Amino acid sequence: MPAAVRTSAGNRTASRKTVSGVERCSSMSVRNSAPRRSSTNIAASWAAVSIASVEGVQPALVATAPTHRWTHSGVAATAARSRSSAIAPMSVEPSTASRVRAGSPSGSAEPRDDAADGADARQYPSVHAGAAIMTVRAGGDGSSSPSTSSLVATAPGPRPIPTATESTENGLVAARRRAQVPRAAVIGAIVVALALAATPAVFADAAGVVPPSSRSEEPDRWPSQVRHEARPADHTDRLDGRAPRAIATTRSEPDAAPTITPQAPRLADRAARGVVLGLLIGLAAAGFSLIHRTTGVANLAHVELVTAGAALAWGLEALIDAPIALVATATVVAGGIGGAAFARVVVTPFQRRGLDAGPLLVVTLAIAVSMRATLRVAMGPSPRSYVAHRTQEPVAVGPIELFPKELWAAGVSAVALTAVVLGIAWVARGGLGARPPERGVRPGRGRIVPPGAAAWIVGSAMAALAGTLVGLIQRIDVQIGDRMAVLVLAAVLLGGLGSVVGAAVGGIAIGAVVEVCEPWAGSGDLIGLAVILGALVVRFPISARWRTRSLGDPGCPR
Amino acid sequence: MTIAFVDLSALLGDPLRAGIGPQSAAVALAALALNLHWGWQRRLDLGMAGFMAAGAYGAAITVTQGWFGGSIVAGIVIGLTAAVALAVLIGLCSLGLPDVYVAVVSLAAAETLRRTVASDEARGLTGGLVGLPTAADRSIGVSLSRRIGQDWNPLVRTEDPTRTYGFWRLEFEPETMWLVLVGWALVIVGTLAIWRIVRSRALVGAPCPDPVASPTPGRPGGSEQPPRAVPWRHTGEPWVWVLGGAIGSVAGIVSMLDHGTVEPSRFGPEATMLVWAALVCGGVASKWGPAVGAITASSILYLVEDAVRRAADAGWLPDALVGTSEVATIRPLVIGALLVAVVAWRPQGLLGSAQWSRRRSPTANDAA
Repeated sequence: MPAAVRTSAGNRTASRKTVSGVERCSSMSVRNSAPRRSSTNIAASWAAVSIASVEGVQPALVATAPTHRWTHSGVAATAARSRSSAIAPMSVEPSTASRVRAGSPSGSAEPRDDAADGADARQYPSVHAGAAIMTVRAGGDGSSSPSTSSLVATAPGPRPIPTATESTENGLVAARRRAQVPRAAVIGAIVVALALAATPAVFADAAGVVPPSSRSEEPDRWPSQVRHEARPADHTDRLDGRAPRAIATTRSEPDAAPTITPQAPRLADRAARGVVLGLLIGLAAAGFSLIHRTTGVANLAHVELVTAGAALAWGLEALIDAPIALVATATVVAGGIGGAAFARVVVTPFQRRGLDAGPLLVVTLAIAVSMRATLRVAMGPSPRSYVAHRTQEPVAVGPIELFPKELWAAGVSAVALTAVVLGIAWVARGGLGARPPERGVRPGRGRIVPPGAAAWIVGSAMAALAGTLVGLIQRIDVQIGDRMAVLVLAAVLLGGLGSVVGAAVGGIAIGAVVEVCEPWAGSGDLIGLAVILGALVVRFPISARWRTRSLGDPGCPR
Repeated sequence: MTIAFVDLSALLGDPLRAGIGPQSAAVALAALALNLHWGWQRRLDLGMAGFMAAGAYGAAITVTQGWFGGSIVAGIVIGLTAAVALAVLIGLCSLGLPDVYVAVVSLAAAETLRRTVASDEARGLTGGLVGLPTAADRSIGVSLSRRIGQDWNPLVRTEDPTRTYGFWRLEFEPETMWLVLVGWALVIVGTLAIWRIVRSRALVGAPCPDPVASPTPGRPGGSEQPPRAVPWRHTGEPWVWVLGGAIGSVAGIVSMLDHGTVEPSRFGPEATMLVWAALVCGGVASKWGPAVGAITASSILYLVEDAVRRAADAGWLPDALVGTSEVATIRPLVIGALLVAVVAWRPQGLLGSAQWSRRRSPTANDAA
């Protein structure tokens, strides 16, 4: 792996044995150094960190250098697909270090190839000069694996061979440990961000100012549009999936009673509705993250699965007239089966052919586009809604008024999220026949369900459940995925790619912010994009501390 | 029985006509930019439609709002600037990071741009869902391509303004022919310019296109690139990224000039996927791959769509499956299927090498 992670000081100490012949023959294996933790090294690492900061690269990013450069020989591509980095704080935690030190087969520890390193030093002397620390070249294959530090390795590529090193923690890890942000700061930052985002709304609320977009016409964005009964189904499909405001206003008779109170929903209402929306976004995003963390595949067709879930639930409900709970259960089961089939039919063959994670992303997006076209033909242009619970009386919970179905949606998604997180932790502790990884045994062996397949099933089922619940509080049309896509991606990146809990928390935060700012910021896409860009610039994912475990190593795709 | 007597020239000529049309030239330009991003730089760009939209909307808004006198030249400059700004925004946030981040950021930026442009709030500027020019303007014949397509068109100044150009099935109107000429000239110039950049080693870490002829000292045979030794900011990579965005905006402008309008629905993910399909068809990281791939992909797309349309017209498809009015909606399906099929069965495309199908090396776990 052309991941050139180079630490300057003391990295030639503690040269380890090269365990794997395969790794040895790759002249581009990760060169990761294992300095002993002496004061010199710590000082050097602090220097490195400071330089990294000057360079604009977060120290956290340093230790994880995936990469891939163009390699014409197959051998050199070997390491390219192995572990490495998502956004970095996930991969250089103290817990990581200790786990790696304990000899876990994961981690960024790679056998060094001193000869190759020396050759490199000759070729690129400037790199080794001074405290030039690292080259983070996050290249083609960096995305193949979300993390270096889970209990088990995650990438479907060649896994690192368990090494007998006494310590693989390099100086940067130690530095990162010191520089770690306490959890209180994370929470505080979120709260401050929420408060800042809500400030204009608060002032406007206090002053009785009606938000601009709800001044004359009904606020047509989601999920506020659920406050009214089902819309007439005869208007044309709109590309952005919104309620047809212009059409409705032009052809509605003037004396028609408005279906919604003309004044803006109060701030508390909006915030509560934002949390409901955020739970659904978090549910979808957590599924995305779970799949990515476990299998290394970022499935861009995930949001289309949400749409498909809503469509399927609507079809089932219309067809067999079953209660929503039964429909949701059936949809979840179908979503799990569909996800497993998707992985089996589409993803795994490509992985087995050695398609990199990057091109695989393109393939999943192509499938998403195809799915959307298919769904568009299948669902037709007119939006729909469930037959049951179409009209409800809002219930007041303290200062906020919510519909019972919104409360149900929030409760079900919260329970599902909790169950998934706890279930992952349970499996990681050895539930379901999972054993902690042993040296020399292919991880994942002995499971009832292979971890990769389990991740696909659970993640897709979460998406389908999210779709069902979205259908409960919104119109059901083909644009559900379109509306959610950016927000789900933002939640994933805000939470830290690959962190289930982070995605859930990020989803809630984004939902709240989007809904609170909705009268001013329009649809949430701009906010979502800003969150994505901000999360990448600041490199401050929520999951920096709230790591979750993956479902385990999927093993080689079979 | 009508199929049996189908005109062979129609079967070959019409797809080829679609393959060399202005839309195909626009796709070729975008694929050129994508080749720069992905083929030569290995930056996973899923937001090419965003660059195209930035260019097209920048030009269209400038013209319709009458900024700088409503000149199309100013519009093109503004469009290029907008695309460059978008590229800078995406690049600043994601270029040092793994593939998936670049992909997510570019995709999210493109989608956000499209949905923002289509939103009601921006309707005064962008025309909302209908696009530009507005419906009222369109009804009185306002077109964005008038200036370039007619005023500056040497082909319409001939003595016979109704004359068409071309031969066989490849007859084009003067306006379309002019755009075809301009578009493909841009493609050729762009290809040669990019090839020059690639050969000049300005792209650090790009594959050596001719490993035997010019191995760099220290690189044995030039067959393997050493790990990148310089942070990406210090290389030509940001400039190349921005250059790709600018070329993508030119593609959007060419497409806009052909339609005479801009609409947000033309810049969805399926547009990106069409560009990807063209690039993969032609061959990733090959010199003429984007141009050849654009011709191929557009022809195949036309062929399939035409077949489905004929089948729907003939009543062979059940109306519940695909009605006659819904044929256009299967276009993304065809694009996605084409891309997946090419990646699955011919990952190197027509002209490329088998970079996509690089096989993993065996590992100890495989042996165990």
